[in-house]
Amino acid sequence: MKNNWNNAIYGHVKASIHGQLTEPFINLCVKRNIAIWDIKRRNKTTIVCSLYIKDISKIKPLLKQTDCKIRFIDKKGFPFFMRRLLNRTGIIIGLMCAILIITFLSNVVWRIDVKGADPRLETKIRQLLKQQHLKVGAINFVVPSTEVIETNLSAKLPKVTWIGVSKDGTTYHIDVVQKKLPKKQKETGPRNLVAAKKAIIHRLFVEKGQPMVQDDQFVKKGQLLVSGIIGNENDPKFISSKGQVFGETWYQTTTKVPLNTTYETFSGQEYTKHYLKMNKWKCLIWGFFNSSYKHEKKDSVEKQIHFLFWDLPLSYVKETHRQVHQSNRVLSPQQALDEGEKAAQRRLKSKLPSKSEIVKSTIESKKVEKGILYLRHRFVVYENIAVPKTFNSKKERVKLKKKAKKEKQNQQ
Amino acid sequence: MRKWQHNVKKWFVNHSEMPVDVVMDLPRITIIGQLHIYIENHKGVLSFSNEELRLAMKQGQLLVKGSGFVLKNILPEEILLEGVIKNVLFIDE
Repeated sequence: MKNNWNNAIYGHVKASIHGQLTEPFINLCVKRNIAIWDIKRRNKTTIVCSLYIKDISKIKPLLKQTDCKIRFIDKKGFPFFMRRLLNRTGIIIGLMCAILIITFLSNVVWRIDVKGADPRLETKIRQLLKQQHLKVGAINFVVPSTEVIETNLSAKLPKVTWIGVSKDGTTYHIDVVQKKLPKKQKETGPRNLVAAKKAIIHRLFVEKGQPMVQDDQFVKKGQLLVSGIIGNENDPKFISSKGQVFGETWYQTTTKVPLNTTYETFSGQEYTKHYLKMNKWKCLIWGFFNSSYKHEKKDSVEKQIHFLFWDLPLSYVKETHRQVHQSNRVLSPQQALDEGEKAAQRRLKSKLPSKSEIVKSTIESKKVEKGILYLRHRFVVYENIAVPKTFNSKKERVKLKKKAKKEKQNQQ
Repeated sequence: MRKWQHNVKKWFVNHSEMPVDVVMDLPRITIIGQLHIYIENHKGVLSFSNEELRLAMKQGQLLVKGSGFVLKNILPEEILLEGVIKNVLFIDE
């Protein structure tokens, strides 16, 4: 049985055979082992059949014997297909170009992933890779092997414990394990702690240095809180004082609370439109039939289209329209007061250092004007008011000596 | 002599498990519905048209009648015919 693959690969022809002795012709073909198939009779003197090209030369004497004439109707199979293809150079050129482009593109580095490195190290790694010709868009032949890159990188990056470079098709993966060193504490010179603002001292936590104030004492801005000079007057030592001084401080704030607010919530309904943009001209390419909502918000993302390495003046824009529900909220006086206080506290806390706490809040005044509640608050806050202030130990020593001399003179 | 040979063959077939067509050189015909007819051990095409196929046999002829005949394949010993088969006739000479 002839299978279709054979027919497709070897070229065969459909031919009509005209003559009185068509049946003897078939029998002769069979006897000579010439494949003949799909025989159909057209009329009394003509049959149509299929034959292989390689057998055509063998047929000629048989045709003479049986006094038949052959006419080819159709040519089929791979050899004929190739011949037809060769006649269309455009297709061939296109095919070659496609193959070339694909081979070229598959030999280009498309992506470099750096994992496990902080941003600073990552940029450094990328710079080093660039020096070794490994960058996005580089051709693979230029890029050294992964082992070489690995050794080069680990030699140049002392901060890295281990670095692994692997290639995955057109992507390079760089896995980094960074050394983690404990932070060194800065050596600080001799210094005092002074008040950052006026306050009443609440609590003192002094690690180093000599406290110069007591609890519940009023201090002015810049006043010495903890001194860095210890020891007696004749033999002073200068250290870097350290500690926290919590003082009671006061703040006044004004807040506005609108009694009537309209706010918007997303309903979750959305549709997207896609555009092609060239300079200022936008052309809708997808999402023609989306009806717009009554209230909506628009987000658009624009992406430049690249061709190989060049940026085209074309860009793709995706617009997402989200439906928005507008609703109204009316606050009662009490609610408004609560809201106002919360907002004021929140705003104050964001300005204060982290360990501070708001102890007391009082409303100084409130008034409503044009639907807006104006509030004035007074807050009592405990916060760290200590600020380091360095001093020159030599000068201090001289000062102390002078002071001692004066005291001696006074005594005399 | 020939008759005697024939009788021997017949006896052999009856007393052994060998297929008849092999031993006695008879045609083996397989028909699949009305669509295909597959004939082995033929001795050449005598006439072929859209409605009729006449094959030479060792003894006599085989006539297949129907419509829309196409000789799908033809080999020295076998033949595959496609179409709508209506009659298969053995013609003795």
